[in-house]
Amino acid sequence: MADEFRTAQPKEYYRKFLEKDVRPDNRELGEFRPTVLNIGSISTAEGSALIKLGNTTVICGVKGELAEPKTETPKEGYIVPNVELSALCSPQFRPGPPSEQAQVLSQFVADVIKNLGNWCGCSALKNTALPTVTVDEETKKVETDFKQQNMLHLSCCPISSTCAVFDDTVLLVDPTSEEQTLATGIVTVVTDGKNICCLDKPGGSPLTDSQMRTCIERAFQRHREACKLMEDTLCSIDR
Amino acid sequence: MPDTRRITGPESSLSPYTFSADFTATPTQPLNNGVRADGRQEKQHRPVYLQAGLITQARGSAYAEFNRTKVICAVEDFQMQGQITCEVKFATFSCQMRRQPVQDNQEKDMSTQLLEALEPAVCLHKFPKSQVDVYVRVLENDGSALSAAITCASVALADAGIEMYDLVVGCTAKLHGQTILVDPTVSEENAPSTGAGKPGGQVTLGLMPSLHQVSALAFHGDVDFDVLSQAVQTCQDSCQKLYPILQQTLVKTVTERMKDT
Repeated sequence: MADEFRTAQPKEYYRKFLEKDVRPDNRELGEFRPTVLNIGSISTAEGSALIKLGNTTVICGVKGELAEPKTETPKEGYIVPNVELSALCSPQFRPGPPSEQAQVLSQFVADVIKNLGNWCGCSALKNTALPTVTVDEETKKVETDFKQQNMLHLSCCPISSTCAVFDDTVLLVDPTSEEQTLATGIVTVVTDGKNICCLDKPGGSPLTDSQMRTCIERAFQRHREACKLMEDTLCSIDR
Repeated sequence: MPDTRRITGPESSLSPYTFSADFTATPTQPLNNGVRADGRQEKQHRPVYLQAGLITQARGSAYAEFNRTKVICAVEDFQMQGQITCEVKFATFSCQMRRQPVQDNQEKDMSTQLLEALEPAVCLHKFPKSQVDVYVRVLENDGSALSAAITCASVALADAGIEMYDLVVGCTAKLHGQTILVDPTVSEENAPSTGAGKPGGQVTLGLMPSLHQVSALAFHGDVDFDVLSQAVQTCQDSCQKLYPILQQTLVKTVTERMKDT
């Protein structure tokens, strides 16, 4: 019965739950889904990470190549992030060239990484349903010597978190894809622990000052949680 | 034409592995005292890990791991004409050399071979109005990617509840003269078989184990007919050994699903 109600009247279904300050998947409004992080599982990549946020899974691999720098920036390398929304993930995505959504996400990740300043690599991944960021990389500076591997130095560690606005008033942290489709607005905040790196609010319902503040505060809190998880994971593997 | 839908890097770039000493190293013997480079016997398959139903959004899905070879597969069906399509794609980071994001010829070839291996097993006449799409993504390639894809895709089809005559199990063997290496790693696959003036090749078999029928057989190379038939027999035996793993995986998934409801 509940399932039929959910399909026919998804908004009403959610309202019934939100009245009691709880979400259909048993989470509180400000609660993230359980996060699992796995680093270095792909050995063919120079660096790799897999993150699972509830049922959303993102895998990221980093390949390093040698290239001539641009003449205008002779001391800088390139960083080429691309987000793929493969048809594997969801029936919403179709095979073929990257959709508009994938292009937007690629550009978003590129902006986050570029704004970190100098040549640095940080795999900031953001998936449709959720925000996730993971870091782990390694580069080879010496062309011929593979035994001497240099860990890539990161100037900071950006973590993103997303809030969805439901019925113009209720803030849902870390929305699932269903919540995201029902939402009237989405806010994504990327922080490095001290500063805000990137704030994305593409239209949607207008938010009050205090609501915006809540989103940002939650993002900083999330940064601490995620950094802890990342450190623990990095400690458990040996590079 | 430049790709405007992706973020593009420099016009030309070189993989650092082209400078590595291993890249130009002379090929070693496939067998050393009857033991392969990774410590396996000639006809020993790598440990296999299978999981079904891990992608909650897809109709059916499966993940297969042959040691370091990792393959993930999802199955969708649409109300269309009765047919099945396959798409195999290597992740850009799945090989030592970076792969392009667009499907290349090898991937197209693998897609066709996968389709041909699965088609005889699926009861398509029961789905006159639906199109079954099989998407396979190779996350890491350490050899035998096609056979991993075949095995993974058939488990995903079964997980999706699509009626089949039988599961299809894939197995690859690399031939070096008289030597048959089951389930080769990527370095065994790339080792030049004609290095010492010996004939060689590679054979991939798709077997429907309970019907004992071959659904796909792909071979390229140059070997004696006897060696080839021996290799096919070896692959069949190997597939039969893998079959219980597929069955157990599916039983486990179904049991878990029943517990949840």
